[in-house]
Amino acid sequence: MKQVASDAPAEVGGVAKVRVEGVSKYMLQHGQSFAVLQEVNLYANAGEFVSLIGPSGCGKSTLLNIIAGLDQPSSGTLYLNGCRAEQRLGTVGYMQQKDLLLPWRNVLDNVILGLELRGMSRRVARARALALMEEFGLKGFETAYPYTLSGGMRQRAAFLRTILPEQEVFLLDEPFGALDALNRAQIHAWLLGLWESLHKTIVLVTHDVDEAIFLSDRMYVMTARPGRVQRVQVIDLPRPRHLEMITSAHFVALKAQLLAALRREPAAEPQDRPP
Amino acid sequence: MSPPDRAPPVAAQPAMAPPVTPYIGRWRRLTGHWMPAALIVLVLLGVWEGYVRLWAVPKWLLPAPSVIAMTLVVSWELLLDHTLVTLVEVVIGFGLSLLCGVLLACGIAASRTLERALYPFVIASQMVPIIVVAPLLLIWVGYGLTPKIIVVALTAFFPIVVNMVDGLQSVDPDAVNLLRTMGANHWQIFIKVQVPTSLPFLFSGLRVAMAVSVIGAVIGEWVGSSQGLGYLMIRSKPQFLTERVFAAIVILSVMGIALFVLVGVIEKLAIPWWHNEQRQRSLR
Amino acid sequence: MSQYTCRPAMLCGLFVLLLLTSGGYCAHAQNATLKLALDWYPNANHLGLYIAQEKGYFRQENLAVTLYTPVDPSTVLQTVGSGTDDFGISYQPDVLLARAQGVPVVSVAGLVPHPLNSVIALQSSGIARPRDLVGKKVGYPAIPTNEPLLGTMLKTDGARGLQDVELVNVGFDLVPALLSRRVDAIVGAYWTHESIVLEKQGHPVHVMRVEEWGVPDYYELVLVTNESTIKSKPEIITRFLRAVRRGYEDAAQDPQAGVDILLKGTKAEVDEKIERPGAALLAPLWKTDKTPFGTQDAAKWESFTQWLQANGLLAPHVKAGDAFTNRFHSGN
Repeated sequence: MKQVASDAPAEVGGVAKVRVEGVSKYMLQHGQSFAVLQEVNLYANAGEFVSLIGPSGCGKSTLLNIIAGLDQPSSGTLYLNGCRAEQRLGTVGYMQQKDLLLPWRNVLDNVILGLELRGMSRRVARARALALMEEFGLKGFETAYPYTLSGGMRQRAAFLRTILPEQEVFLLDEPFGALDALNRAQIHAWLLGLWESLHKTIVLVTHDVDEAIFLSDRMYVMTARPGRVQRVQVIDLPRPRHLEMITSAHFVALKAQLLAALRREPAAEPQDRPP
Repeated sequence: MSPPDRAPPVAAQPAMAPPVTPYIGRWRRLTGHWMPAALIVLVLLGVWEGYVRLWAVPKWLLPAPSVIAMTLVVSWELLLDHTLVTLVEVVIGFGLSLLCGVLLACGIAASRTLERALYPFVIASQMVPIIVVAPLLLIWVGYGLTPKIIVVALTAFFPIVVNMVDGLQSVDPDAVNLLRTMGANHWQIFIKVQVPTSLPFLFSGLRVAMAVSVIGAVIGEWVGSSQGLGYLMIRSKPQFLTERVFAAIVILSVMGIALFVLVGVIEKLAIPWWHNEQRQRSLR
Repeated sequence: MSQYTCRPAMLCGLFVLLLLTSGGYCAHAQNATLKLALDWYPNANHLGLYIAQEKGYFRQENLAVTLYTPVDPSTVLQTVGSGTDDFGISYQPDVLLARAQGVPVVSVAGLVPHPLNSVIALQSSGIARPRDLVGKKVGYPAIPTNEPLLGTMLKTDGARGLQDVELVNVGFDLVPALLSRRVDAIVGAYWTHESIVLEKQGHPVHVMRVEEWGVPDYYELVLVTNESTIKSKPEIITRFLRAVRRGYEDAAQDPQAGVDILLKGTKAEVDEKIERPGAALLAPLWKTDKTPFGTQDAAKWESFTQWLQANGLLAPHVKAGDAFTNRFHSGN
């Protein structure tokens, strides 16, 4: 088990796809300014699967929002693809907790939303999406409306929507939180298969330690508010990963360590939760 | 790859319907819809007819339903001519109101400044009594169909604008953020998310607007017109043809209901997802 | 009982007895409360009524009379016919039309014995006689009687009739319609009111009186009551008309004093500048030589009924004689 004490991008000469350097974020509540994130350092290399785990209210979602461009850091810098990116909106794919499928569009038109916004014609976009529908388990539901889909299917549709524009980096904010355990296990296996074929960089935020360990190459453990990186854990389980690994000794040991790290950090009180 | 999920079962069947032939079942469903209202109407009409006959109420004071029905049949040509005029006023006025109302609502929702500048006028437009404005319109605009159409538009304007603005402003901020992360600009967000979100609200406003449009047309005609059901009513009164007044009222009611239902039908066609979603939500 | 308490007590008792018996003697003139619906907002036409109110003529007949203008003036005959109002002021053609539909109203007095209705045009338009209206727009208040009035006037002056003009319903805002030049002339306007309004605004007018152009003379305003009152309370009608007659006689003598009373009675709601000249114009119409004020001329009723029937506005079964009565006009 390797544990990296300080965090530095790997590969000399290599450029991290995502680099968060010393980012802090302050918010105002009742006239008082409080820190949501404090001096966060994080990076993800090309093709890496990185996950972010921490107690409730530690600012994980805020960090993702900042990386995606919905929010700006109060201090610190962000690098995407090696450049300082002030206007980041649209450069990374972002899948949020809610599937946010537009109820007035059928499944096919929902998944092509990202392509449509980039100016692609609907016809071309639909063709491109249709090719992937089967892989995402949505075959036969192209003209169905979101309200007819199960939770798992909606998440997969949202995922397809996220990856269709073929960005280099994807941010996933607890995307499988709404699914039950059985569905989740299946979807993890499926996701890994997809990731291995796409070779994209993924940053995953999750509550689920099992999920984080199973999916990622490296894990960032955050403290409670104000969120800081408490620990960086390299997951040296072999790839490709199989569901049986979850019960292996190595996995269990990793999990024990991480749970202990998490337990040291109490969750933030509800009223301080950032907006 | 992943095993495709099954979609959830189709909407749950109502509990244990007895085995009937499909024909009878459909009949029961249809009548179930309008039977209660029809029964109430029949009872009221019966009481009315009985009262007039038993107490010998004169025709010019309160005509019996049978007399009104007779008038509808006997004077149908006259009534049809005037009905068409009123119908035209309602439809064109409503259309005008829809166009201006939607545009204004988009402006108000898009800009805080416009909202602060224009919203008070929208509210004021509802406060001014139409019965005072209508004669002035006649003087300014003339005596054709135009002033009636303007009166209808003024009456229908308020519910359309208010509902549409509410709809545009009720957009889910998470959906907006989603589009922003995909690089959408303000216009794309407006067209792809705000407008579809506002449609159910708009249709709600349209139903109200349609109902008041009919009233607006009649008031516009009262004040100065040579045609239309409102005109027919004020002309029949001094001739003590009260049954004709009531016949006009019956036609106006039917017109109002029919137009109201029509808006509902268009709504089902335009935003089918809304009703299906509502139904789904109520069944869960 | 001592003599000091006995006598006052007896006097009191006698007094009370007198009061009670005197009530019996006056039984035939019991107090009555009456409602009268005016045809329009108070104006110079109603001078006699307000004078009777103010000078106590009603009170002297033991009548408490409420004068009011209904929210919708076209309902007067209906409220009188159904008994909600005891009396009303209405128009001769309307009375006949109502009776054709079975409304049980009867005219008991003629208040304005000649038509006030007229066709009015601005002098600047050059329209001075009905023939000049051919091809023009005439505004009217959607009251059906105005159509045959105008038609007869046109025919009398050599035109074909109503088909030569375009009738436009302008509601009751006749003056604004004319001033805004939306119509070239108006009918349904009173030569004692609208013409004055126009001239006061600086627009001299041509007035064409209907009775000068082929329309038979008729009563513009009549006082109506319903048949059941006639049957059950005839003496009240007599008393009422007596007071009204006295009021109008005073109005004919001194119309301007009448206007003062009108202003006081309506709390200055009326426009003095219009009503003073109006009253001056009306006063000669109220002066009668032989017959008591309000007596109706049977010939006028007959000829007007026939004219309405000839113009298809009135059903043939209506008898003029049933529509009016002079029964309740007493001497002094």
